[in-house]
Amino acid sequence: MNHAPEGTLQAHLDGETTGEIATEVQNHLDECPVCRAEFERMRADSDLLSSALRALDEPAAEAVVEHALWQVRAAHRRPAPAPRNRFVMGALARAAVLLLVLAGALAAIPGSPLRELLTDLMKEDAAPAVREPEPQPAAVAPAPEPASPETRRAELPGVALLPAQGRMRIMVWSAKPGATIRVNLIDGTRVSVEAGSDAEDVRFRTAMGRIEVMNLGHAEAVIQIPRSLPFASLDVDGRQWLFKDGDQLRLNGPVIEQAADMVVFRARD
Amino acid sequence: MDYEVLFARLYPSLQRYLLRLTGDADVADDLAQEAFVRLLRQPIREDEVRPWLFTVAMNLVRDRARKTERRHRLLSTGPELVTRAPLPDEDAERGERVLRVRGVLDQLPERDRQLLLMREEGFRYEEIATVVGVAPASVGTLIARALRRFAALYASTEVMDEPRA
Repeated sequence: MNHAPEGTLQAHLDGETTGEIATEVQNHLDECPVCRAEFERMRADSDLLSSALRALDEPAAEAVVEHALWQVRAAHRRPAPAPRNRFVMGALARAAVLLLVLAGALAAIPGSPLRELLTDLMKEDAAPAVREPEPQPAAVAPAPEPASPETRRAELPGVALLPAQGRMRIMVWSAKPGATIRVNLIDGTRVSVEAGSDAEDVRFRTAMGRIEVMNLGHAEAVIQIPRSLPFASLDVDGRQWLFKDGDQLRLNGPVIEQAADMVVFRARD
Repeated sequence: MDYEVLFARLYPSLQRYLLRLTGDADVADDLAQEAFVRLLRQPIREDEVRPWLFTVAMNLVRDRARKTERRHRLLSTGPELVTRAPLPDEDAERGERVLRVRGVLDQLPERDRQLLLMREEGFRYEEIATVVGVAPASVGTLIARALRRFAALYASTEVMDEPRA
């Protein structure tokens, strides 16, 4: 009995065989114990792989997908860098220099048409040939209404996440000198992190029990932590600035302002 | 083409593929987002989007690997990078399994990794052939061999963990 090629068995396992071929393969598997055993071994290997790969996966929080989309749109709004073709730019520059040199040479020749044109241009009076319309005063646009705090908050980039097993770790990266991080203790259940409207390059990443803020730069970040959260920590560029243990707050970062339910840090040089 | 619907449908799969391929969640996020940014800038037929995205993502992985290798060569005398300490509540057993699976994947040839991971994402053989750059008729055989290699390597790590008699 001829045995089925391994590629055909694999394709059958993966649902890639159709019609008559699928029927033939299935009939052969029903009759050939060797191919049947091989087919089952392939299925076991496939299940092993699927199970092993699942161990690598991190749970994809809904916030991850939402903010990934926000990141993509923000990146798309930045103009794509124009491709630099050094060869073309160099050739154009050389051509421009050559033209200037030729024009200068022509203008120097007495009686040349270019010399006469240049002479005539210098003799013309300053009054333009065509009267330009009088500039109209620009219409004064009404001042836009300042955004309410709620509207401003809704427009700021940020994430909000439920803690995992009573813990939340917030990590801020690339905070430049002068960047401020404000931490508020609030009533509620979610930890939220927002970046200021000037944080153009900021990006967020989330995982269970973790929020990361990348590329904070000089901007402001506002973090809100529920008072009831048992454990929370704030790391900035690898250093722990704040650790919340129940009702206690341990502050290790550069504090510039502090109140009962609020602390403000400012990154130094 | 409704971009947001497409994004919601394809981003998790692409990000998961890249995470499994690279082993780095940050890199996977970056590259998945970069692939979608490029999609925004290029008109693609909707039925071609998925294989196109995965092809672009694979190219981005290769580019990044080349740059990283170059950087490591240039900075070979530089200070060691400080890695994050694990969270106190991380599952040690899960961590060991992750290391084991990553170790096995890293030993596979790049093409095997691509074939197996795309198959796991539900790609048809025709699509896999286009992205990986092989003949469609050979995909079944290549996948069968890649699976066999994976299983053999995975089994070999299990034997090493057993205590000696």
